[in-house]
Amino acid sequence: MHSDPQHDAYPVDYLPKTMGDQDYKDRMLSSSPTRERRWAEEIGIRAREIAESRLTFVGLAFFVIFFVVAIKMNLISFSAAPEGRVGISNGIIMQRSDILDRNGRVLAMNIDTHSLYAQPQQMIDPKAAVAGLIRVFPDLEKRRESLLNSFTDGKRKFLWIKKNISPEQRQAIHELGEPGLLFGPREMRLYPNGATAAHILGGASFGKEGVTAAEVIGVAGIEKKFDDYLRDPDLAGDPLKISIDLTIQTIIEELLAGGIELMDAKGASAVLMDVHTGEVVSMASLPDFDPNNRPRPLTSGDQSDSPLFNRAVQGVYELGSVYKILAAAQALDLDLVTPETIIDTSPPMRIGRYPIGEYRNKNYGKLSVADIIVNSSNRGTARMALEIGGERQQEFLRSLGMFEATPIEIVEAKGGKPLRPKKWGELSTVTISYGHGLSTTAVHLASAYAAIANGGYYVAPTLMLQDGPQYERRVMSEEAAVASQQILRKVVTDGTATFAEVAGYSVAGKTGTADKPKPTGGYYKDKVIATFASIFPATDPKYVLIVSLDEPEVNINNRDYRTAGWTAVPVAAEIIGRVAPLLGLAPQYEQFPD
Amino acid sequence: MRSFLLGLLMLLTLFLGFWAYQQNYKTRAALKETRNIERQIRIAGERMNMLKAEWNYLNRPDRLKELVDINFLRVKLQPMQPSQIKSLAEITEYGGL
Repeated sequence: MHSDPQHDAYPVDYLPKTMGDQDYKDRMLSSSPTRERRWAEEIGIRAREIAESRLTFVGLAFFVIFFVVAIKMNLISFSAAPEGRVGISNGIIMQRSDILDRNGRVLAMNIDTHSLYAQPQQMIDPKAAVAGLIRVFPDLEKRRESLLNSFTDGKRKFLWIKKNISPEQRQAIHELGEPGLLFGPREMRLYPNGATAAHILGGASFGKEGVTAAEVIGVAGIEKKFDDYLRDPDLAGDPLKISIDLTIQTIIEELLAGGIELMDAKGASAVLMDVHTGEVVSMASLPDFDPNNRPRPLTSGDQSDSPLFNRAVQGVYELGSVYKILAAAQALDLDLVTPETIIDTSPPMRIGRYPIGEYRNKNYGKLSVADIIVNSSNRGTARMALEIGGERQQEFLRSLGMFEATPIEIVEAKGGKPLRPKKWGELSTVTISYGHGLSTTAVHLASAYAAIANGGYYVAPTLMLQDGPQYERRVMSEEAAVASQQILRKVVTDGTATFAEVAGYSVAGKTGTADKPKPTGGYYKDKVIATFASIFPATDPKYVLIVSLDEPEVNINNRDYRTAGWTAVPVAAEIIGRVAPLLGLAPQYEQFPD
Repeated sequence: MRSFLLGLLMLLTLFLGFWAYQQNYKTRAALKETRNIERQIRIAGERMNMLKAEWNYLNRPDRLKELVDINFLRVKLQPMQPSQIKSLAEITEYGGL
């Protein structure tokens, strides 16, 4: 029997299926040599077929794998490259967003500075280091002893020297060549315009402090109100744009300062607001401060004497006769009167035990509603208020936002909560109708006048830019609002505010002179708050301007004048003349100016 | 034919290897350059921020007003008056545009 070990060496499963069959194999091999050759050939063919299919498989597998790799590479090369690891927008440079005015001018921004600290154990010559430090920072003189102690006693490993230094100071310290004096990066809040708009911006200071960084946090004003927003890393330095106009703000502050100087006043405030959107274009309070170097709050005495005090927002005062138009507007709205209705304003008039008097004990006799406002008659307004009744009066004042703190977006606003009588009796109804007994801020007043100016809607005062009118609710009919505007115009043309005539701009408004309350009770005879609340242009009101002077006094021909008509009104007129063109209002002349 | 193909493939492999080697180095160089550029961008950003601060500080209204006052005789700038705003019709009245 023929046997080939080579053939037998083939594992059975490599052979064609029939070959595994021992009988078949025996039959083939035993028959003839040609058959043996044919068998060998057949094995060769089968083996090659298997090898080929395997190679094809491997080849395909490699092809698929490389194809996938190629696709992935292409995807990577065509996809947008991600921002680098040290992007300028995410965190390092702009930790806190800028604040811009409505035209994009910078009101507050961050700059990089350095802090200076010491590591005493690395010091080479502590004595020379202290001497050098004092040369650069003369104010360290008083810390000389304590610095030298902490540099030499070996206990301190770390010591802050200065929280913020300028590049020049940093260079000077570098030149000392002391390895124990080190710098940490710092961000500092800068208010490039100094005291301008100080009360709105507030100020910032350092929160948590580390060697390599310190948090900048808002401490007052809009900086504190929007602290979370300004620090939000997701916003990546998107600036906060507010409704203030830097140019107008500067002009108003300048003119107020002029008014204070001329009239020897203690302070002044002004609010300029868009009557349709509620945007506060300017809000000023003097005296002011530099937010770059915010003074400390007073530890004793009256906080309202501090320059930090925001008179426009925190100053809650009885603003006097400027309220009278509100009583008239409501009476008109309720159809109790028309501007021509005649009311008897003659004395005597008593509410309980209290007589209601007039300024300088005048007696105006019978007056029309319009003339009651023009002449600022207390008794006339009181009669209207009695017609309206306390209930409806409160409802109306509440709808004008006079009972709540203003929603304006600075933290101080919630401190400007109006003061109203606990018991609103008939006497309160009467006195409040002419502005005594209810204390509000200038911003409250601006909102109320805006409702008259815009045709009867309450708009919330805001520092955010708005798109279009923001009428929240109707508080009076359009007819009542328009009639009130005409009465206010008459106050300027032939009433107490004749100084408010501005060439090219028709102004409407109402004066108010309120005696200041003594802290001990009662009122001062010679200290007043003079206010002029105005809307312009009277033909189609766009803006409301409130100007308030604290304790003004002008001496003309040896007579002292304190009333708003002589103090606040001229200042307001000056402001309107300067500011109206900048607000995009073209002057309109009834006749050609000379 | 077969050996020619084999040779071609070998050459191709050699070439691809060389190419991959070069790409690797190019990528590293590009990454290094990116880091460098990013650093420059950061420095430029810091500088721009500083210049912005300086620009706004130099253009603060108080300073501009002071400059106007100092140079009053030369520039004669005064606050704008409403009467300076005229309509087109009024301009022609004063002798045309």
